[in-house]
Amino acid sequence: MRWSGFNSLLFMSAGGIIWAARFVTAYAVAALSCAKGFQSATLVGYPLATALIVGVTVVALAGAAIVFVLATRRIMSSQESVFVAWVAAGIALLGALAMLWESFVLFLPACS
Amino acid sequence: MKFPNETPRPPGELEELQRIWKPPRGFALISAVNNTYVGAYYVGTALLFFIFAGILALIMRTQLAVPENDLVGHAVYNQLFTVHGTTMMFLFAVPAVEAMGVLLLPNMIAARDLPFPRLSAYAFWAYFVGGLVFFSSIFFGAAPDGGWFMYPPLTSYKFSPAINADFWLLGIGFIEISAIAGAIEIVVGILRTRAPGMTLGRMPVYAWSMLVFAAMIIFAFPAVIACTLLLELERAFGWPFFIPEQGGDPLLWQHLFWFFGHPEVYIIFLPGAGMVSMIVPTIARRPLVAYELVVVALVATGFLSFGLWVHHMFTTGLPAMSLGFFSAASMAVAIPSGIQVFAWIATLAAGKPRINVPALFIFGFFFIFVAGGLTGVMVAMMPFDWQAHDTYFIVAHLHYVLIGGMVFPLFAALYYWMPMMSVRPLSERLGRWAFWLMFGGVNLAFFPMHLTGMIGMPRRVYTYPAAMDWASLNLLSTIGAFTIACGVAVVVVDVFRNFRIAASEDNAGNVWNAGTLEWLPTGYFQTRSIPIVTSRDPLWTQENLAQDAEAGRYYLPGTVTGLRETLVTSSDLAEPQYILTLPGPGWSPVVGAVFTAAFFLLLTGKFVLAATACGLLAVIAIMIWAWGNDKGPREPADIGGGIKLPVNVTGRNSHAWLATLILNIVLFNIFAAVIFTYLFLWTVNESFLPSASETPDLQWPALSVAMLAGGSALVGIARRALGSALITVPLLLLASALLLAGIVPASYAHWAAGLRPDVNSYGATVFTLFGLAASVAISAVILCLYSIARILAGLLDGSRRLTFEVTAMLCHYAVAQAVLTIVFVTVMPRILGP
Repeated sequence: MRWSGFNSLLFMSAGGIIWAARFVTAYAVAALSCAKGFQSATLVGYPLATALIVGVTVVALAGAAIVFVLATRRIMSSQESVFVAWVAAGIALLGALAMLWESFVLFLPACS
Repeated sequence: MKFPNETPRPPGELEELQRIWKPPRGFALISAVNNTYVGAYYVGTALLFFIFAGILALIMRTQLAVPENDLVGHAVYNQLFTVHGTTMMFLFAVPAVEAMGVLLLPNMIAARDLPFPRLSAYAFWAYFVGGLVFFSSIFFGAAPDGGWFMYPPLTSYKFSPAINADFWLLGIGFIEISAIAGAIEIVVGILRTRAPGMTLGRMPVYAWSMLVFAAMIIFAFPAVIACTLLLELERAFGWPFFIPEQGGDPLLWQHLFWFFGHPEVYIIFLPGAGMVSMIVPTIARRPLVAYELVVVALVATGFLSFGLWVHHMFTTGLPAMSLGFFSAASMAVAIPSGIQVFAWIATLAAGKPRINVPALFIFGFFFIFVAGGLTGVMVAMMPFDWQAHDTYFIVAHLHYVLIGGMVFPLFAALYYWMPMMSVRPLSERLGRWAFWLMFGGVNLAFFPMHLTGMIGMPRRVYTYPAAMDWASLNLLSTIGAFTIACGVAVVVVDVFRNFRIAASEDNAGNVWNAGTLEWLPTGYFQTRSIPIVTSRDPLWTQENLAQDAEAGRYYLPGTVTGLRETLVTSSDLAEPQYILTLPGPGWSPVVGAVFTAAFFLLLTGKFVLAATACGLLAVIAIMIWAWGNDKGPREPADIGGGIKLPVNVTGRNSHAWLATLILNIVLFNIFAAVIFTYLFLWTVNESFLPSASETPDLQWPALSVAMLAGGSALVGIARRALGSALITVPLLLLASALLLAGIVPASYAHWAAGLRPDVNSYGATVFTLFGLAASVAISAVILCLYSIARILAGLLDGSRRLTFEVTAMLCHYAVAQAVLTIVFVTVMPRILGP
């Protein structure tokens, strides 16, 4: 498969972009829940902000997993883009690790 | 191996190449634009600012050497630490790493020059002139004194009414422009001018680090541009972004500033890491271990570093969970940094290291940077940070990180790459003296500061009572600071003794037996012919590469257009795509830069008319420089190996398209920072938004959107009709009028509804958004008028159309930003308002 430069750079960065999107969303939800006073609201029995952040994190982790799987497939099937695939897989993995690590924050009190 | 070109080369070919690339002589050397000269000026100037800022540090350390010292008073001391920090960060660190990029990258990727040589020259001269004037403010007591991060309300008009703060806000405007210009140049250079065969996977790690560095500038610097703009608007016109009584919030500054300020640390460190990744394999005499992982680490660091900004704000009272995200991210970023450190250690362990001066500085970097990284993990933990915040512990940490992460790699680089630039290398003996003095001095100066901080000494105090028991540690730090100065002085002596700029092919050469392309034999034009690259360390793996390239056996061994030129290749696989002609020496970038710096500096002194005149002159100078740039397509030319390439192309495949796209991203990021301002102030201020009944009726915003869309459509029609001046010129004039007038109905409707920018933060934010949209529209209209001038001069038509492609992109972007602005300010109060 031929890769265009833009696609290569985007694919390599995908894990980082997913991490950034999840990070901004999680921070925004946490900040808004405190600033706008809906820290006591709940969703399926859990605090609303926590539930939303967990949901966003699950979607983001799924995204990172898809990038990782696509990258490993390319590593096995293609010579031309193998480096791009390696880097994409590595960044997706690091991004997923960072998201999991940052999720421990959910055990902290939301607005104290 | 069959080479693209046969030897011997035709007589006169090399002489023609030398003639075309020959730099000007004497005073006219100032007008040189090729990367060798601009890069050397740039590095030299950055080091000059390093010495200047270092002298300020020595004065501060002398003041603090003994308790209750009266060498300088608190007012001067405030200016000293502010200018020291500002100069080190804005006038030394970022320009120094950018300068090394300008100097090294074309050689490393075997390009003849960067793709926009005059932009490099402009960026350098704006920095040089503006930087010197900014620094000299300290001699007149007019220097900024609010700390290098300039927090309001201390720096608001109420508490800092003199022009000192304005000097910071406007005086460094030029450095932001300079850094962004350099970043665009570097991205386009790395992605589009690599030697054939140098795929992304064969790119030197330094090029990767500079690519990430430039991308980070593109996303981080707009935030600081936005916050300096907001604070200056507040100071100059009373638009209250940071005044709580009028709906503002000082924390807004901290968010915007540190969204720039923390990535800034990595903006400085990553190029240093890239240099280390180039030097370590050479001293270990083997390829870098885990190249792919190092690239992963660089890119991942680039991303993660944007998730750390609030760790500078742990003591501001933000909620625990919000702080927790940043604490966790601050620890997570240690992983990619650690990957790089282990890759370097593994490379050294697997090789046969030579212990020379660059190696010593690399070892010093390991020790100091890792120590700084460890204290970084400590302060990433909120409970520890609450204790250490604003103490000398933080001063120790940041100096370990910055000196370890950037200064030591830079000095390693200075010794390592000097033979590429100079007739002879620097002295091994003096270099060892310099290293040990600097290494010992850094640890003597900054290690005790951890302790002074732990026992309670706050940063930024101009003196302290003897009873506090801080005297002996402070004296040690002062002795250490002077020891560092001695080390730097030895380097300066070494440079004066041994640096003689290599005029042409007479540099000291590949004295380290390194494997990358910057060590090819070079002339003014870099390498004689542009090689085909088949590995990451081509000089180690491709036999006789240096001799073959020098003999002209590879691509483009002469000139095919009679002009300066370089090869443009595809961004992923580096396949030859076209020949790009490059401009030669010129005065217009220098003149444009001087007037740009003057524009910002005169605004500082509130000389509005003079500043406006200088701004106009800067625009005129830039247009004069641009006038000769778009030379249009020419007949395809043979570069060797039976490959015929087009000369200068337009459209999406052109380097100019990529540069304009990046510029649009920068503009969008500035816009996004002001949108963040709006949303942030809404979250912290219950009464920020007006009710729907207080907002303008919808017909005026709708009229604005229609006019702007019309302008964009006319530009699109003009693009298709470029062959006919009779059609294109009126269309562009009409489009310009619509672009300029389009924003008026929506903004005037807000004014008519009673909104004022100096009454509350909502009005200030809305009118700032309109102002930004208008500024971009005005820039687009200036480009439209410039395109019209070129059409009338017969320099722009259906085939020679690059200028118009760029103009059209900016016009469409201007419309998009203006429409987004109008929709946003119209819809938000209706959705979220009371």
